[in-house]
Amino acid sequence: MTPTPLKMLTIVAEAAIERRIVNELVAAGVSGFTTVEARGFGERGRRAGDWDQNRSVRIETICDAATASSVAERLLELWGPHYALIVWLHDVQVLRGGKFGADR
Amino acid sequence: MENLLDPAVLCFVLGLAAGLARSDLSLPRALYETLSVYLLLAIGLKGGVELARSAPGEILLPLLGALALGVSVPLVAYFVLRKIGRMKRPDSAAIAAHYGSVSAVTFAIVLEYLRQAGTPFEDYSAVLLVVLEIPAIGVGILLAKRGAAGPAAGWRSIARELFLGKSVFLLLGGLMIGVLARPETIGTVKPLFFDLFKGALALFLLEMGLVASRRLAEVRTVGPFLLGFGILMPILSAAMGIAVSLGVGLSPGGTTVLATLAASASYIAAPAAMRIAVPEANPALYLTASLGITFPFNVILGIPLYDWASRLAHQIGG
Repeated sequence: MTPTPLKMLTIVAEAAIERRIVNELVAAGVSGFTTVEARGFGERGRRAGDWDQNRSVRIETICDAATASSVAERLLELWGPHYALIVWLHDVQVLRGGKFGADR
Repeated sequence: MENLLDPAVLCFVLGLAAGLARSDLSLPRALYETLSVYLLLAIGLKGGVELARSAPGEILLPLLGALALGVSVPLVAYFVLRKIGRMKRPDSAAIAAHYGSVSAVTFAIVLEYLRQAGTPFEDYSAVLLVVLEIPAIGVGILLAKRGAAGPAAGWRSIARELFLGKSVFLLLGGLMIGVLARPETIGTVKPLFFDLFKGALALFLLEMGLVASRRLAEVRTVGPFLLGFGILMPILSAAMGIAVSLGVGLSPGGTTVLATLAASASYIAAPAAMRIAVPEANPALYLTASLGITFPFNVILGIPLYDWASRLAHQIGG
């Protein structure tokens, strides 16, 4: 099975905007995503994740390079200035690339 | 003084002490979530059962009084924050919304306080709690957006956050269940929701003590003005609450309830709504003021103070 080169988009954000981020991902046509709860420390202080206003999430999705960059830009433009939000991209080699829209 | 020796209040102090001493005590987040759902539903249920006993006509005037408070308290708070504190508009508006809105847990504590003392209060008090949750948040959003086209997230998603957020949704839901359920069937949920309530409240307050202590550690960064505001604003709001209570003819116990509601600051509904509606406001400011300063003040000293002032007002006024 030959791996397909694709992009993985990782988003770490405060839980307050989780639903809206997911809506953006769906609107951009990604085939799926995975969300986990996160804790950490950054520009906006310690995000301990121990109660409502202090929760962060880590959302990951795999898609083609063009979609990944446009989604990343859109998220940062919408929420970058006022929310805890970190976005990064990695090159990944994915098996069964068709699951991520690579063959479509 | 007796208030300080209440086990639930002592649990709060224990949590505060643990946090300030940097104990490694922490409660799992799932427990915090479970307890907050339990408490909100139980407060609604109890309120609903009591509401079912009261006559619809007697609610109207106090309801209007509560609404007037819900609008006037955030306006006064905003004025103080802008003119005296010289704070930025979004921050002032967001903090004002928190102080106009209410804390259900503070409400639960004042009811326990009155029950303990044997002071009667109006059966429909929980309705006042629900009515006071929302208007201030609307006022805060309007104050933040004065001159701008509309809130950042659009009114639809804000309304969703407000009405479908766990705070209002569970309180209203519990209230409706309490009113609708046949009285003889309420007994089946009584052991969990009524009898265990005070113990669960104590456990929740232990966690709130820990959360508040972390906020308290940030007081240094928010400055002396906000510290003073966090203590003096609830006293001013309580005075407004007492005046309104006398105007609408509440009993001394009911006056203590409405004064405490006016004095309390929200930390569930308002932060969630303001984070979405006014993203440029700094959450560290409103959370520290509401949770780090005002909540501990009300729980430990405020409630007995408001109760004393309410009785005094009734003695003088009537």
